[in-house]
This record gives sequence, structure tokens and C-alpha cells, in this order.
Amino acid sequence: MDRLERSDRAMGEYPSEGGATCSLEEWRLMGRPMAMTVLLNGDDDIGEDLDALLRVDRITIAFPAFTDGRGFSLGRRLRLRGFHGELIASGELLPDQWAYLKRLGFTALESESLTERAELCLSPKDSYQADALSPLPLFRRRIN
Amino acid sequence: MYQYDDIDQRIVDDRVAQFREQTQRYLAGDLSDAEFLPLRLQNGLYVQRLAPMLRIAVPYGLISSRQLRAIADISRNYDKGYGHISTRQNIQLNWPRLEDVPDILAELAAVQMHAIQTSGNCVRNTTTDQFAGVAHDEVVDPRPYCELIRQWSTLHPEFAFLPRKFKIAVNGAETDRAATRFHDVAIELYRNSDEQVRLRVLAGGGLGRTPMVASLLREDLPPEEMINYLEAVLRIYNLHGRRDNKYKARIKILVKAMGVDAFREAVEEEWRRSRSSENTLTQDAIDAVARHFVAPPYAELDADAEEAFLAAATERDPIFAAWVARNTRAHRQGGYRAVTITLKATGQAPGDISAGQMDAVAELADRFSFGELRTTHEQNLVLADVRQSDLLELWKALQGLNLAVSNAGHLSDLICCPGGDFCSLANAKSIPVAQALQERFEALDYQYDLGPLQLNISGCMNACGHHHVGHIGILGVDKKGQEFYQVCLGGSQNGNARVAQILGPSFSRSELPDVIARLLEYYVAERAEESETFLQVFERIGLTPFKEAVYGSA
Repeated sequence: MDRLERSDRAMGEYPSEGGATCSLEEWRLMGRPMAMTVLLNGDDDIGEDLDALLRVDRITIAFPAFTDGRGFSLGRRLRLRGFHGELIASGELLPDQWAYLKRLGFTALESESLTERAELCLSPKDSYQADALSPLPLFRRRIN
Repeated sequence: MYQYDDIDQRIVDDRVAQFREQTQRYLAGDLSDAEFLPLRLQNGLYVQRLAPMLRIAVPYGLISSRQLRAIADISRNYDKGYGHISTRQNIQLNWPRLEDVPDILAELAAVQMHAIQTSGNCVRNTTTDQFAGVAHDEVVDPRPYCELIRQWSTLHPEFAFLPRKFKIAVNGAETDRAATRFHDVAIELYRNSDEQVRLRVLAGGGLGRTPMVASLLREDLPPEEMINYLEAVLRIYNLHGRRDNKYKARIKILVKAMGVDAFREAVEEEWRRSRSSENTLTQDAIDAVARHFVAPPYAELDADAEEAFLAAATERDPIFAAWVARNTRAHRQGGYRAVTITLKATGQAPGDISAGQMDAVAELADRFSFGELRTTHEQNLVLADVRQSDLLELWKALQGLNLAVSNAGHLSDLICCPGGDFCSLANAKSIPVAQALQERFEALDYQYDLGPLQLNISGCMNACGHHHVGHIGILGVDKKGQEFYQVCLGGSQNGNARVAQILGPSFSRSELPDVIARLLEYYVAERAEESETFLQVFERIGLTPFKEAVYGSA
């Protein structure tokens, strides 16, 4: 059991207070300000706004159901394109999904009670893939 | 075959501990049924009609004698003493107790096995040619690429909650023996004019309710880009695949809705950004995996002497000769043959194998085939590397195990899903249909006269029995609570991949043997010469004459 990672160590902080949250549409109407939390849904058409979105302080991705995995790819895509701000997951998630979300570059869960449950979940410490926590895939780490 | 290093082992061990804890939370009431569902599915655990079902991964169909013995033990200790080879080359146990599954997974992990992602809406076990590495017509050995895909897809954080399940198959031979183009992604390995390995990637194939042959995305992909390209395909699918209707959620529906050109452009755009990233495979990484799949230490044999020994033995015993002709095939290595052990004896559920048979076959693999076996999507086993002069002894041993039926590639070597006897999705039973047909057409001479024939039976639209690609396919349907069966003809999984056409109105179970008999009689009467196969006759004359032969002319 020692090898397994409990989630709490890497949890970081909970979403800080303040910083208004707006939808993608509202953010566009406001002139795409950087000091904002933009709430994205899996089916939002980001289109040409991607570059501007990469500069906002914080992005919250909404999961309408824990089976709806679009947010996993959306979060990963934002990180791959260079988003360095806070990345929050909100919605109907399972505590067991936090380990994967963290590997994709999410920094926190919106719900505190979910965070508490997520901290108790186990997950494998090693992984094969390149991700936000381990930028090199295992095949590169093995050879080196 | 691939051997775990410390890291592979840790990942699988950790996964067992993780699932044990998840199961404890579920049993304690801390996880609801709905919350536990995706967690158990991604560990291969279904809840079926009568009991849970555990699907154990056999990566691309390779299994060692030690692993098969472990499964035999598990089936004795935790189940009813048998297992079932699935059409995705995995092994299923039909009667485990939910509470025991963490212990079963721990025993599997001890022999480098697991049940990770054998179900659920994630990337499933990659399948390939059961004769990989020994086939005469192989251009590129698919196994290293399958293993690289296995590692990349195992516990991938981004693709664990896809719109629907995702199946990848790889073929590296001239003849496709893995129904590759009926997969969500098909990878075809070939060599370009400079003899370099290249990948042809197709997407959007599948069986199920909407059978479709995969569409070409890209040719000439360097192997180093395989993972970057697969991630691009999966990301586009994960972001845009439908989630409102599970019957329209597979990638084939997305490819069709977007159009293959638009889908390809979206994938290529994603790939252009990741090309040459850290996920680009290095030659060292490919070579390191390929070293696990070097040829076994074959004996230096006098191929002529081996051939002469076999010729003399087949001369003496026509039953042995029939087995050699049907259930063994030419091998790359002089003096060796690859052996198919069909799990299709009349009276046995197709693909089922008892714990005693597993132990005995494992022993035969140790004696005659370097301790390795393969599972096939036709629900059989293969011993890939048997000396010709050992075939007689092997055959005698198989006879004693009721595993020497000489029917490989013939009518009674049919594919059949577990159907309504076990599966909670099924509309109708499939095993009794298989048994009725095996009994009706048990005479091997008649089967040989019919030539190669693939008969596939599915108990529902989900098509686990691959009825769409059978030369003759049978599909169980529910009509007002009654079990009926639709017959389709002319499907093909090899080379010229094609979906079968529906013959006409469905039949009751008791009518089926006569219907199949009429189809076969008509084929025999129509064939231009004895060597013209059922499929060739169908391709020549089409569906209508067969329809009239069964239903009478309109």
C-alpha cells in the first residue's frame, strides 16, 4: 500500500475566493479580460478564442455527468496549448476520477466535499503516458 | 512474449489494491451502484444475468502456459472450473463472486495478467493475427506495436470516459486474420518501397447495430508517430462523439456524421500540433519492445526428414491426416507447423474450456511449443511452433482431451457469443443454436465437402458473435417476447471485408437446422466446381437465388 499515492499531497489549495466567474459567452461580451474565471462546457465552441483563453487566470470545466469525459480532453488540450492558470473541475464527478484529472493538469476540484472523498482514493503511482505530472512517457524514462 | 519489468508489475499491483479499496467502499455502501459501475467495468467486471462475469485480458491473444495454469486454478477455486475464450481473444469467467474479484485480480497480477479495460467506455484489448510471428504471409510482426498500444492505452488518464468502447486491431500480414477493418481503429503495417515499416490507419469500422467497414485516414505514417496519431484520433472522438444515445456513440457514427474528410482534417490538425512531441516513439523504444518477440530457439531440423516423418504418419492414419490438413498450417520455420486446437467439439459451448483441459493444454504447450499459446477471435487456441515430427504425439494427447476435432475453418468451427444463457443483453440464446447445428452437421466428410465455411452466431444486435462477417450469420432477435433468428449471408472478414446481407424474415430456433441445410444443399448444387467455396458462389450469384431456395420463389 505504501507505493500507492494518496491524493492529498498533491492536492494543492482549494479554489481561492474572488475573481468573477463567467460563461464563455459573457467573457466574450466583456472583451475577453484576463483576470477572470471562465466556465467552459464540453460542447463550447472555443474556435478562434483559444489563444485569448490561454491567458485567463482560471478556467473551470463543467462535467455534466461523471460519464461525460469531454472535459478530460478539453483540459488536456488547454494545457498542451500552453494554459498555465488554475484549472478547476466542477460538476458530477467521482472521487476516483481526481487522479486522472490531476494527471491531465487540473489543479483542483470545485467541490470541497468531493475533494475530501478524493483524498482518500488510491491510484497507481506509476504510469505509461506523458501527462502534466510526468511530461515524459514511460518508454522514454525506461530507455534513459 | 512480453515480460513485465518492475514498473509494469507495480502498475498492475497498484491497480489491484485500488480496485480492492473501491470494492470495499461499494460493499460498505459508500459508492452507489451507478458510481461503482464504471470502476468495475474498467476492471473487466460485468454483472450478468445469473452472476458477475470477469473478463481477463489476454493482450493480443498471447498467453504463457504458466498464465493458463493460473487461470485454471482460479476457475477451480473461485468459479465453476471452466473458462470461455471470447471473440476479442480474452478469457471470461462466468461465475465469480463480486467479493472475490480483488483476490482473483491479485492472483492474476502474480502471473503478469489483469482485467484492466476489458470492458467499459475506454480503449479495450488490442487484437491481432493469431499467427503473428509465424505466418508465411507476414510482412511486419504486429506484436511489438500491439504491446506499445497496450502500454499507451493502459490507464490512460484522458480516454477512460469515452462516449463508448474503443477497439483497436493491428494486422501485419497479406491476409487479414483479425477482422481488422471492423474495428474502431484498424492499423495495417506494411513496408514502403524503401523497405521501411509504415502504418496505414483506418477508423470507423465496427459491427453491432450499424456494421461498417473502416475508412482510410492516413497511409505512410512512420511508426514513431503511432502514439501521437492515436491520441489525435481519440481526442477528436472524445470531444465530438455523441453522448446522447449509446447506440450512436461509437466512432463510426462520428466519422459518418462529419464525413471522413472532415474527420481526417480534424485529426491531422490535432496531430500536427503533437507531431515530434515527447510521445513520438524512439527507435530504441520500439526495439526494446520488439526484443520480447524474437523467434523461440527453434531446433536445427532436417526439414525433408520432418516432412517425410509426417507424410508416413498421415499415410497410416486418415483421421490424423484430416487433422493435419485442417488444423495445422505452414510455418515460416522449416520443419515446424502452427496448430489450431478448436474448442468446438459437439456438445460443448463454443469457446469453453475446462480447468482440466487448460492444465493439460498448458502441459502440451510446454512439451511441444515453447510454453506459449495464443487465443483466437474464432474462440480457439493455437500452439504456434510445433515440430512436424511431434504432431502425431500432440494429436494423440489432444484426442484424449476431446480437443482433436478436425474442423478448423469448417462449419462446426463456428463463432458463437455466450448469448441468452449468460448475457443480460442478449435477445435470444445462441449456444443451443450452435449445438443444434453442430449435431445436425456433425459428419466431418460432409463439412469437408462443403469446403471452408465461417458460420457466426450472435444472440443480439451487439454482434459479439460477429454474425455480420460470417459467410452465414445468425442473429437472435426478440419478437414480442419470443426468440427468433435472422439469417444473413455473404459476410467476409478477410481481405475484401464485407458485411453480410439479410436473407429475409426470421425463423424459430427449431427451423434453423433445416434452413441452413437448404442453403448448403443449394450451394452444393450451384457450385461450378468442387473448389468453388460457399462465399465465392454467393459472390457470383448473389442473395436472391439463396432466398428463393429457402422461402420459395415469390
